[in-house]
Amino acid sequence: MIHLDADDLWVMATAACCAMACGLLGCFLVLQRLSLLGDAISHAILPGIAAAFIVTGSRASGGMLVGAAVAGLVTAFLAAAIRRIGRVPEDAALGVVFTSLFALGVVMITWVAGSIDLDPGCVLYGLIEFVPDDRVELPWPLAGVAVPRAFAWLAGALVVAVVFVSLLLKELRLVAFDASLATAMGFSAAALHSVFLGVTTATIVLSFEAVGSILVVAMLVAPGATARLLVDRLGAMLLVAALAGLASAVGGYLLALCMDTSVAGAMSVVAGGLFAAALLLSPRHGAVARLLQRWALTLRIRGEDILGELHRAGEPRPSPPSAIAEPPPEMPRWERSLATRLLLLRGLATRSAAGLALTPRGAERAEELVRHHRRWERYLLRETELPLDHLHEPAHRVEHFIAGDLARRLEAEVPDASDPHRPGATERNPD
Amino acid sequence: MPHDPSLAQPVRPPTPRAGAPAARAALEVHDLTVAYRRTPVLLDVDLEIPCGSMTAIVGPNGAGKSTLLKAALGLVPAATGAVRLFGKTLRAVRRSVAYVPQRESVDWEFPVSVLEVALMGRYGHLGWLRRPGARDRAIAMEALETMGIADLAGRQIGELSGGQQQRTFLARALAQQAELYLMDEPSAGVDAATERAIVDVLRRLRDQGRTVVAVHHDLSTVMAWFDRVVLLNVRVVAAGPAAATLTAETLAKTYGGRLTLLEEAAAVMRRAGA
Amino acid sequence: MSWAADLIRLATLEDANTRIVLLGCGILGAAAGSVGSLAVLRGRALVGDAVAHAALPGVCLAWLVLGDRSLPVLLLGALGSGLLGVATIAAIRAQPRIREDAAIALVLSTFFGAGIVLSRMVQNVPGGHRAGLDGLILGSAASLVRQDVFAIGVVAAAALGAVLLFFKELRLLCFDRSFAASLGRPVGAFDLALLAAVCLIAIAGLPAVGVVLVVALLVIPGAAARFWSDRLAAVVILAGLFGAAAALAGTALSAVLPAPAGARVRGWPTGPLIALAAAGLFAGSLVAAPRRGLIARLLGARRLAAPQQGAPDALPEERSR
Repeated sequence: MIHLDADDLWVMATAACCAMACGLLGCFLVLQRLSLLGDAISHAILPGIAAAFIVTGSRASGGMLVGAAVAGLVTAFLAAAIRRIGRVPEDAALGVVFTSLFALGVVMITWVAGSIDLDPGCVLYGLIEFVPDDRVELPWPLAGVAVPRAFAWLAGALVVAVVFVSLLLKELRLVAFDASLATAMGFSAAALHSVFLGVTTATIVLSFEAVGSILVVAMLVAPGATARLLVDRLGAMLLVAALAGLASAVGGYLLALCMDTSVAGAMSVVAGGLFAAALLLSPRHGAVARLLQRWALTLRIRGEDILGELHRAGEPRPSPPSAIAEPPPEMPRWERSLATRLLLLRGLATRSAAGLALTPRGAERAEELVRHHRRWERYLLRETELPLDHLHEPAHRVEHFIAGDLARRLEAEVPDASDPHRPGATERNPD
Repeated sequence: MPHDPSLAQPVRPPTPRAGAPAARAALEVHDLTVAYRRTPVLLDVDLEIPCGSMTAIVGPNGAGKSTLLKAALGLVPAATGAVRLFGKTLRAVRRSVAYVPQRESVDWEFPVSVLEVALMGRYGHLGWLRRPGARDRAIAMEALETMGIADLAGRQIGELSGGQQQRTFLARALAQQAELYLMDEPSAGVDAATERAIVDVLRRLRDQGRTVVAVHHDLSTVMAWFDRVVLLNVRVVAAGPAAATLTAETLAKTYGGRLTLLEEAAAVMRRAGA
Repeated sequence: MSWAADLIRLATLEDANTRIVLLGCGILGAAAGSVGSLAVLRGRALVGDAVAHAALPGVCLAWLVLGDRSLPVLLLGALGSGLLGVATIAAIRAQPRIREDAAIALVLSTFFGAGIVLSRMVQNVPGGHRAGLDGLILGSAASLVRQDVFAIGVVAAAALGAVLLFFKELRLLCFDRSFAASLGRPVGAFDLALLAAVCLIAIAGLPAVGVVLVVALLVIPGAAARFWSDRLAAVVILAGLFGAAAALAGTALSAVLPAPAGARVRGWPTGPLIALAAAGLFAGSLVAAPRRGLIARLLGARRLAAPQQGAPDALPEERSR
């Protein structure tokens, strides 16, 4: 059992505030394909922070915020200018700007490394372990209570992010979905985008000192991407992203404690791990779910093909050869046996000494399939150029999917469910 | 596509149709089904395009027109069905097929000159490691001449107007010296003069016995320019000589709402499958 | 005036170690610049960033498992996890809901986080000299030895040779992928080969430039070279020259600059200096390049504004034949 003291809890709380604020805002970055802009900003604000350090000589967050905000603006401006003037592709322009600014920041920090308390390494992976050492007293309503300075700032960032997202959810959704529509409807997409980037940059800056540039990127992108795989609605996505952020912060801290390693690194590993889990296991979009779905579909189609075989075997008069000129569908043995077992289980077929036979319900379903098949053939015959002997294959594929609304509409369009291949039933001369 | 490939059955030999030319078809498509992740599908497309014809593929947005060309060239995987070119597989006749992609599909800021783009048409004949020689240059220059842009040969392609860019693409196709030309909207977004020039060149190709298949978006000119028409909306609505095929009824079927059952079925199958 | 003496020693190349380091950086810069310019034109500018970051856990794992500190072994580990990173990006992209940008950012941050976790564990191992790994994060060209330069040379020669051999095909692929495919070229394999070359060069560059800024050497020279020419061959060659120049300048600077006052760092990390040298070249190109540069454009705009001079800018849309 890990023993957690008050300092551990402060670190976790700070990281959780950071992760949830970044997660909320990151949802919009992911949706608008701006993930790399988040990456770029989180690197490019370094010279601003370094300049603030050099000028103020301290790590007080006020000056840092201003410096970083300026650097963030410079990034956005430079990238846009390079793209316009140099006609450089967008990703390359970002690459040029953020690497240059980050390099500048590292050089500035190295220059003064002896005189201030900052190490080039910590800009990458932060100082979150030392968060509890630096405390501030809260203002009036809670005067006398001292909390870690980073916690106070990041809790503030979380509040701002929550308020911003909940107040402007409707507008943000519209802009993320269709910026030009939003502009046409009178919301200034550009203005909202600028405000959004401003809030995001401020959150990145505040997170940067605590957790370093790399974890900021992880926290901006991973929770949003995880949520994107798990839910479909924006509101739910925000909630899931915040929860994923929280889980990454807490889980990452515990992992770091167990393995005696970097907290920021462990948190980004957990955030990435949650995404990987969602990628594999998401109930609707996960790889495993899709595999199972595909497999279930194959078995259903196999089962229905077997129903069709049984139905035709039991028909009193064989159809003319052209109508069912289908070779017996080849299916792997295990698929056939599994599909048959499923038919028995669902009560659509019975097995007796004479072999497999349809139950009344199975016969009903088989007749339904045949009706759908013939109606689809008739529909194709009426609507397309397909020659008569090409109708069977498409109908055979589609028949398994005709149900519900589609079945009702097909019936309305094509009331006649007799076989179009039978003489006298054709509408068009089959050559 | 949702269904298992093993459900697909062997392709049948083409069905002879009344009035089909005795000559072998330049392009035959049988029971072709193509599924993209979200964008349109082709469903059971069956098609024959005779040699020496000039055919327009017409249909609404998202009808699968570009996809049909790409599937013919093997650029998108077919879920079912087969394509034959001059009665052979694509691999066997690849050098006889030229392709003009949509103009928007490339980055026109790319650092190449007009002549270099035209020379790319020779790459298929050159193979991997050989560089274009004097003869290839002559052919490329001649193609630029034909398209009326020989004097722009040294220009960077980003400096060209839209019409000149399209002429460059056509020159590249001409330099391929192919028998079958598959063109994706060759006259989209170009000026009237370029459009005329393009049609002249296509006609000349046809008169030399080459086959031209072009995706075309302008219903007002299709009858005047093309011999044959394929009306496409996810599947072939109608195909044949332009005048006989373009009727109010077929157009309504192509562009109207009566085809929704097919689209709906395609959507249901997509949802069920992946 | 010890820095002046340093400068003289550097300029005269009298020190064998300096010669080796400069040779390695120059070769690396040339290969990174020219292959990177193709990657930029193919729209893959930032994949190198993800690869480099993804290499860190492999380096640490190789150290932890093999206990060998020699660079080739560590780079082999880097190659393994870098390729795993690229494969992960591809796997995520196969999922329609997550786009490439998010995939790159995810791989970059998660793998790098794992690398930090592992490197901290390396430090905890008795004898885990953190200096070796620290150098890989921001680069320390001075630590290059003869066999490192040899490894860089092999990778660079292979990459440049492949570019030279397949230049025609690469032009085709980068300009018009679907046309290339219509000619029957294996475009997927070519894309993969380009990616693999970027990956190899990024990893060969780790000791000199570092994980964080290798991408600068891949992207900036190509973007800068584009200002000077409209010919692909010229752009690729120029990007190679720019890359070599930036790498040499950055390395030389780190050797000459007086060490910072604090005792906490041993010398200047080379990665940032190389990136800044490349940024300087880019800024110079952006401002001064003929025709595409800022000055040329401003002058051109002025000429256009004076109608009597009749600048032949817009081509006539239709010419009579």
